[in-house]
Amino acid sequence: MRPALFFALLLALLTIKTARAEPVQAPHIAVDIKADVSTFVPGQPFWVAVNFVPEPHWHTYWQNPGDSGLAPTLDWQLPPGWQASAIQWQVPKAIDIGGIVNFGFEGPSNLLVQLTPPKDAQSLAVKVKASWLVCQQACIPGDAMLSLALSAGKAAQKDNSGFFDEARQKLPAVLPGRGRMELQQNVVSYALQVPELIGTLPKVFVANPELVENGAKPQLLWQGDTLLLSLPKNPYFTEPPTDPKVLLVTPDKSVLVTMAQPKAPAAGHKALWLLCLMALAGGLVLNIMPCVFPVLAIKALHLKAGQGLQYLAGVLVSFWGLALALFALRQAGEAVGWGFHLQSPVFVALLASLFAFMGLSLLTQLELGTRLMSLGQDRIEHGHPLEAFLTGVLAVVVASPCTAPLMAPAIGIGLTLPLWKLLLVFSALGLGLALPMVLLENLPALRRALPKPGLWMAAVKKILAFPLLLTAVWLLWVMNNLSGQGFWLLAAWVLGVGIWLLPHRLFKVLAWLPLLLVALLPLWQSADKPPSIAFDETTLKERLAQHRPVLVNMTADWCITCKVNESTTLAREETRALFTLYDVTYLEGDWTARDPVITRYLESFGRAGVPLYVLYDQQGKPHVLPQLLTPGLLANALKDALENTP
Amino acid sequence: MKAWLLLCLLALPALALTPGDKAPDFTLQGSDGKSYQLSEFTGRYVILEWTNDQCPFVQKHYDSGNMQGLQQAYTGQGVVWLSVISSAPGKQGHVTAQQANQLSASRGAHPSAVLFDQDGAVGRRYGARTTPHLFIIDKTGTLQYMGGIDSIASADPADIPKARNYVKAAMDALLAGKTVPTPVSRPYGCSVKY
Repeated sequence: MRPALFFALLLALLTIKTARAEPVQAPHIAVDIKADVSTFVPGQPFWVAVNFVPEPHWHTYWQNPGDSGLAPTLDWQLPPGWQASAIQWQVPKAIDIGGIVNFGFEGPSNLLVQLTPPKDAQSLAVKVKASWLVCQQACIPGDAMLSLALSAGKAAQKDNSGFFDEARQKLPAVLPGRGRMELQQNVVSYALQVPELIGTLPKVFVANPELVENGAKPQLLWQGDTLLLSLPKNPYFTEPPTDPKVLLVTPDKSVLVTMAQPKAPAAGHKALWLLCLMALAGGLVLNIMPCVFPVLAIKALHLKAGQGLQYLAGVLVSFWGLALALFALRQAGEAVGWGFHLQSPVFVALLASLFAFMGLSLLTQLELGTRLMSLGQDRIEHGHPLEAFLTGVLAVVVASPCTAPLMAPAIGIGLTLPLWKLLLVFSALGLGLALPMVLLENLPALRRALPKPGLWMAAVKKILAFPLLLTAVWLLWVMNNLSGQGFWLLAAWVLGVGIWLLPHRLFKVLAWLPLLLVALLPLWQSADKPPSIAFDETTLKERLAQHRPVLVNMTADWCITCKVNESTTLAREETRALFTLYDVTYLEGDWTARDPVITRYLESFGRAGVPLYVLYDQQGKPHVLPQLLTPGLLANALKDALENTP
Repeated sequence: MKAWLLLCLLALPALALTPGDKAPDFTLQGSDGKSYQLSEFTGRYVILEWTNDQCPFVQKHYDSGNMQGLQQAYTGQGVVWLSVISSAPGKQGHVTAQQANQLSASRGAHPSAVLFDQDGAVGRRYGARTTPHLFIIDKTGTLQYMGGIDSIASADPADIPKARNYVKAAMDALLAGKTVPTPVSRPYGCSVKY
């Protein structure tokens, strides 16, 4: 055999050997490297997994290892031009050992990394130095040089598909720029826009080490599609993280939320046309969302020509109204986005009723609520322009609880822009939503292509009823999470339908009564907050001179922690009862617009910001309460300060 | 007095110490059979070092002589160095007084005393999470530093020369009458075996 051939064969044999490298056996853990290709294409990224398999009951750590332990690290040794992504971490679990809380992985886990070879990449052995800490009670650090031979080729050769499918399933979905973080003296708060998880109470994992108290239970509160959460600050906190990330885990979903970059407006400025394009596409897609499609489909079938522009005007005007409302709320410091009205139980109740009635009317062919469904219908046929306009309004109303792809980022960025640009983005969105109907109404060729109305429509209507009813059920559930009144709404519907069916014209009117009552219920409830008096120094002095206890709450609308505390503790019934019991005057200082009197008050307690809670006992002695309140904590504080005072 | 008690109670969620707080007093048995009370050392600097000889992160700083070097340098200047073992009986790092003394002799350690905190009460009061975990208390009994021994969280002794030693930085500042440059840092290592 010629020596060259011999060496080539030997090299091939060695390559095969390293391509299927045996796992490295280290004390208490086996470590392995795998790629999802055996042949990569230069310039095209592929996945690599470093796989840890510890012995039973031993664990490795997450990117935030918690109170002790150490996150594993990967040190890539790649030729120039190659790029390795940051580690994509799978969802960890909390491991509590005697009050010391760690985050990590018991059993096998993967560190997933995407490698991008340069355009001129050659076959090579990918090398990485992996370092880890594996612990049970004892901890054993380890490291290993892992390598994997890969060849370059014209077409990618897939490998380990099953393994990588499973590994990628354990990764959370990444939601970039959907959060806001706020650091208080002792509290870290987040506002995370995650409509994906609406109404659930997810487990919270903060990815940045030494930021929050690892074992603490977070205070959670939904506000529309935004989850507000507060956690006590870690005693070893030193500086704000550069890349704050929060992982939220429910039984069937996990999402990793990163924070919005404060520089977003500048980025959005560059690509206004792109935002408008995204909004236009999002608007188009809205047409086929389950909440919108059935309504518009029925309308399209009943069309008469030539009303497209009135319809477009209805859509646009409604969107402009929404844009203005959003802009005004933003200016007032509210963190609102699309769907902000879903944080109001009244709106949700109305929307749910609207969908339920539209769905029922389609399903039963009863006259039940058909007026709502055909809002604008009769007189479009009679050619009244106002009614086409109202159809446009209805389209926006039914679209409002839905989000289409591309829409959320367009609106999200749009909201950080000046008003005229925001209006432009919303106009594009409206144009997208209106476009199919406008085309249908104004292009005779298209209209002729529509099937002729007939008996088949009855069947289609029944099918179309289901998405509407499902939307109603979903809204019912949202309402239940918001105010716990979903049940009452359902009861009102059933009662209403029952009354409606009674044989007298009067009952058709009375049927609406239960619904009206439920819609008013949340109003009455929100009026149920503790009776607070706006803070001013004179009132405070007066009460203290009368030897009456006072609780001062310094708050602001833009303060996430304040809102969480108010909702979880201060606005609760037990708290109100305690205030009555102890004759506590509840003074609320609103620092939303920086008020010099409040600023002075804050400074007198050495604070530069809200929240600040000060409880004055009967002797007028102030007790500063922690920034993160719970009902139990407040009850104890009141009891200790106000009972048995000599 | 009642108000102070109340304030302590209210501060419960933020029970964890921070530099500037009064260091909680305690009395613990030493491996030399004597009893040590923190408040006896008022007027001297005190360094508390949580330790567990089986922990690889502790071994990193003992096998390299890093810890002994610090102990020698500061006890030589009148600083009290107390090594605290909070490992519960039966848990890793739990040792008898005799074993503790042998360990000090074999490792060439120079603590002023090795203290036993078997029930973990003192460790929990200080919020000691890891071994090693260090606390520096000034002459007035005020906590001045808490955290790791240095800036590179690893078990690799090769990192010691590259790391910024926070204990040394804090002690040198205090001895020179300056404020501590980094009063808090991330403690890293094995968990304390309560």
